[in-house]
Amino acid sequence: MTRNIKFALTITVLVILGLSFGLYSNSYAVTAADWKAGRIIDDAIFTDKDSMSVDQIQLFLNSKVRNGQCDTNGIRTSELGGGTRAQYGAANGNPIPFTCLKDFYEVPKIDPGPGIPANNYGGVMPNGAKSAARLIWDAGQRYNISPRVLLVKLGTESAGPLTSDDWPFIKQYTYAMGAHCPDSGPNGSANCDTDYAGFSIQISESARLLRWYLDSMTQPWWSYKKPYQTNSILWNVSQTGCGGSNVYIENKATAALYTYTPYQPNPAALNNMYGTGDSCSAYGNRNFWRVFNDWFGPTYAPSYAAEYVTQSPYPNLNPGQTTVAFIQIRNMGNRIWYDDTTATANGNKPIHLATTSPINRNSDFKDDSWLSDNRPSGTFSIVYDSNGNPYTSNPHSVKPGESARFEFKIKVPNSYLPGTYHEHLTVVEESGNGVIPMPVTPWLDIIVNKVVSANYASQSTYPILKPGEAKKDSFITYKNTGNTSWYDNSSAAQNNSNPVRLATMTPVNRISIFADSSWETNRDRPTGLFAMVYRSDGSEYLSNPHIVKPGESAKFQFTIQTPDNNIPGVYREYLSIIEEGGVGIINTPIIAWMDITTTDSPSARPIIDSLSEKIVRTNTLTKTYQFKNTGTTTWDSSTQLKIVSGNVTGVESSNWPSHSIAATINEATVIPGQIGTFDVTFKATGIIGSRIIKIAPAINGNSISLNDMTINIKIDAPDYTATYVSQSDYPTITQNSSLNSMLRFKNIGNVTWYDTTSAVSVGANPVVLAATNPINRLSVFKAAFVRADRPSILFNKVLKSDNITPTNNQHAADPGDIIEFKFTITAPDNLTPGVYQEFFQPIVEGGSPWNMKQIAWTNVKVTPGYNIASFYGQSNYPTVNRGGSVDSYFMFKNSGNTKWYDSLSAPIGVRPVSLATTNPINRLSLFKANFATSNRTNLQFSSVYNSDGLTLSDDQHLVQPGQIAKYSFSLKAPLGLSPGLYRESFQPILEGANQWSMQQTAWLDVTVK
Amino acid sequence: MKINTKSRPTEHIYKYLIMAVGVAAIIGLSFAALELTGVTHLINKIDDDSTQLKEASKIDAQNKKDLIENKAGSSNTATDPSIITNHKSSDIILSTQREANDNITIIARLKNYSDGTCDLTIKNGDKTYMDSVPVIYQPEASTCAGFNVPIKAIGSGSWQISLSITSKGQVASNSISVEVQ
Repeated sequence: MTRNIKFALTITVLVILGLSFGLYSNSYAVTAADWKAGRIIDDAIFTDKDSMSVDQIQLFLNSKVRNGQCDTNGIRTSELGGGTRAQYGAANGNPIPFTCLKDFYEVPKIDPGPGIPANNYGGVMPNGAKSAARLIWDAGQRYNISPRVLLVKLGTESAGPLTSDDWPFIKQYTYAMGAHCPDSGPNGSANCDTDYAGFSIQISESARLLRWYLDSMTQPWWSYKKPYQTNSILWNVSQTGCGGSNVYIENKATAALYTYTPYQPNPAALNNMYGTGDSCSAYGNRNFWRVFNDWFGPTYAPSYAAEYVTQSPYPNLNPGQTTVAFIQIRNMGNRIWYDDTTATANGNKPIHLATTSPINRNSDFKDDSWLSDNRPSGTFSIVYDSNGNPYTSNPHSVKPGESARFEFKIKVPNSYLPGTYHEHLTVVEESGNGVIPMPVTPWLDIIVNKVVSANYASQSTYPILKPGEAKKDSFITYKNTGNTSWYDNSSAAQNNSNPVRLATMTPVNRISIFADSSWETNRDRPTGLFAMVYRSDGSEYLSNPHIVKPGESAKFQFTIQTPDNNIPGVYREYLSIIEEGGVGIINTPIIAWMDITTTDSPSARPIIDSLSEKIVRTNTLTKTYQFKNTGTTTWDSSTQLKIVSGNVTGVESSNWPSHSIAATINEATVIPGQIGTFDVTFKATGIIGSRIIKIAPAINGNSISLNDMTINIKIDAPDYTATYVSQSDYPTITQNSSLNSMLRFKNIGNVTWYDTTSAVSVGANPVVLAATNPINRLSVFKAAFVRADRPSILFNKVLKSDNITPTNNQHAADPGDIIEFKFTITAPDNLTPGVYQEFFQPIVEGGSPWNMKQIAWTNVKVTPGYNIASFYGQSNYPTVNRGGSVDSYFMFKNSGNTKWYDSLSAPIGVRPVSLATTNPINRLSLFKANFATSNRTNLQFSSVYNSDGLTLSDDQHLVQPGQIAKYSFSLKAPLGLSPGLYRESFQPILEGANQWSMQQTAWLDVTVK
Repeated sequence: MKINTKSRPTEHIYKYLIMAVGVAAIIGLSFAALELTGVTHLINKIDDDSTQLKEASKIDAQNKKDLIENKAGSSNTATDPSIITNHKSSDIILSTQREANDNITIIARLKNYSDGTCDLTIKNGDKTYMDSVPVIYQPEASTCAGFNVPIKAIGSGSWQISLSITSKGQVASNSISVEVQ
């Protein structure tokens, strides 16, 4: 072990011992020199009822048991002789088990009476029993006597003593404190009153007697030892004749001890502090003093010490409120306290109540009654004696053990934030010893309530409004007079608070007739936003914080909208503020109101506030504009639509009543609530571009509209642009046939297309379909065209942009509409079979420009046509008289691949099939008188049959391949014709075709009689 | 240059001092806690071993023995209530004193009383003053808890002062005459 380690260990041991003894107790071993007969113990120590808790008393009793633990079964050798303790106890009427004080419980006996109360000595715990520690503590609390005093009394008055005896007899508990044991026995020995038998009543009575002595000893009838004067005190009972000495008793506690035990220790007793003196020695007060010092330390209090006693309840206050609070402090020192009333007269410094934590802290809750910002009071409002009883006449001085109540006012500043504020207070000797030590510094929890309150500040002027008119800048300003910030709709959520809103009042949440769409739900919240926040000095925040701190003001700006057609009058609208979802209506001395005057002036409101119109230059546009009569008077036919602002040059039309009046109302009358209409025709003659005009109904030239209708008129250059949409399948046709085709184009320009049917009426150039590539090309399929270069000049269909729904006008196509051109492609009989690409495009006929920038095409496939007829049947050879007629017929089957048309059904450009005379072809027949022509029996089919030759076909003027055509005709024999047999030959031909022959000839042998 | 990193001797001492105080504080606190909670009783043993305490213990033991064996001189030997209930007039000693405020204080000294009630009757001619207060116990002689009679209550003259003490169901009285001017 090194020298340094040895040194460290030595130091350690020394410190351990020092700390152990120092921490264990503040006990103090006294000597005779320390004894002061007139000051055994100070009042503050004597009456300090809170010097120990029950647990501390119990721990103390536990620690005091001799040998460390109770010898319950008396196994040790009896110090009193008689064998073991158990044997001695049995021999003396107290068999085991022994019960030590630390384990002793008794049912409290408060009132005197016979018998020893039930206890747990050596047996079962009775109901309601309390521990010795608890009984001691209860007695101290009840009579304001220190439990330490009672413990010391018990340790000095009881046999054993009980406090340390590890095998006590029950007899030791019976009169443990010697209370009510008058010294009336032989030689002044005690005779105990059996009504006071029992540990609990002994403890209680000893405390009561001490308290009684303390409270009575200054009375004139008090014949025992008196404080603050010289008393004669004996050394021992008078019967001993030992005499005594005069003692100036310095305090009440010492006088009480001398009353309880009226003897003082003589020098012999003091010189043998733990033993006996001589025959004149008495030991009660010596032992009390010595034991107290041994157990608890000095019996003298410091000069200045204090202890918290009680205080007023924690105050709940609103900002601006004041209340009276108090704190009661006990003088635990040995000096008398004086307040401002008595200090000077007594040559002392006053004791003041002071703020602390830190000391002399300036308090926010000071009142004008305070001595200063950190001195709530300098006067004892009530002084209590050591028993807690107030002096009838305030002495303005507090003796040791007594207590003083400091009453003072607490005032919460205006706008003080809600919360709980700890106001720590202490006592100080002003200009003297300063802060008087206290084990626990008292405090008041000042609870500042949340107060949400407001005060009306200002508002906008009362509005005068037409029916239906709105005033958007109305406002009311409220000042936040509470102690809680306000939040509006925009700030409440992020601050986890409820929003403050302007609300209708009288009654609250009244549905207002003056609400407009800017109000919040239910027409009872004009606004939930702070339009402006003003600091407490009235200045505005540059950036709206949307938070109104206490003392600041909020501007609630809102719209007042008079109802349409409202009855004229003055309406009072009460408005105040609420904390939505919080306190509700915010307390305010004045509920603000607006007196809203509504007039009977005519008024109108556009059904649509603003709209845009487009018009192609040179075009005209007629629109109907609607206004509601929001007033209380009826409009008549003189009501006009006025140009309120804007330049109408270039858009006005000649039918305007004047340059500034666009139209006259359509209706004869428009009553309040109804809608009036105005038809306005614009003629676009101005430059291309936009212009804004504002219009409003006017009576006698004066606008009556609440707000004008704004029209943005745009003049566009005409645009006839088309785009391809769809077409029919590419056609395949045979020579000498036709087929319908279709092309659809969409109007993607800005003007309406008209066909030749409608264009004239509107003075427009028609849009037609032209053959193109090049433009106006003559089509080989033109036979059915309007012109060789115009397949169609009419709209077959006009559909909406969905390409399905027909528009109302099938001869006009607005921008976005789709137009279908239908046309017939006819393949001439002599057209060379093949595929022909035919280009078409819509054009503005005669327009400039005419080109609509979209070309479409179709591929026409032409196949060869075979016109072949075969004989199917005929009537019998006829016989006819000269001058007479006879009916005949031929039936030919269409054995080719083309359709046969007759003169009635042949499409334009398609050649019909006729029955012609032949041999030679176009021979003039002798029987022609009833023929269609001199060489054509029929130009039309008489009947058309299906291939069975029996059933008639659906179309009697069209012979499909396989079907059968029947030509019926009448042969008339001229009068001059010689009788005889005549052969008449006929054959069907394709009329006018180069390949006219259908390769079938038939004849009739006609007999003429 | 060579750097000397060796600590100075005083630095060692300070270091060990701090260590020692720290360790001692921990052990000391533990020791005190054990003693205060009653787990150990080393301090008591030290007390018990002292010479003075041995003598005190002997006295305590003797007192206990006297009590248990009912020997004279014990303060707790009386168990017979009759001892303090056989009161007689001589147990009641009356005296008066005049106060500066023209009150007469009647002082009673009551021998062998533990408790009870004091009933005061003062007669002055046809005037009577009565008061009742409890007995305040005191081991030498109990007293009545205060009779302070204003002279003007019954006027000056010859006061017949009678005090009856009721205790344990018995009544004892005594009277005195006082000339009050």
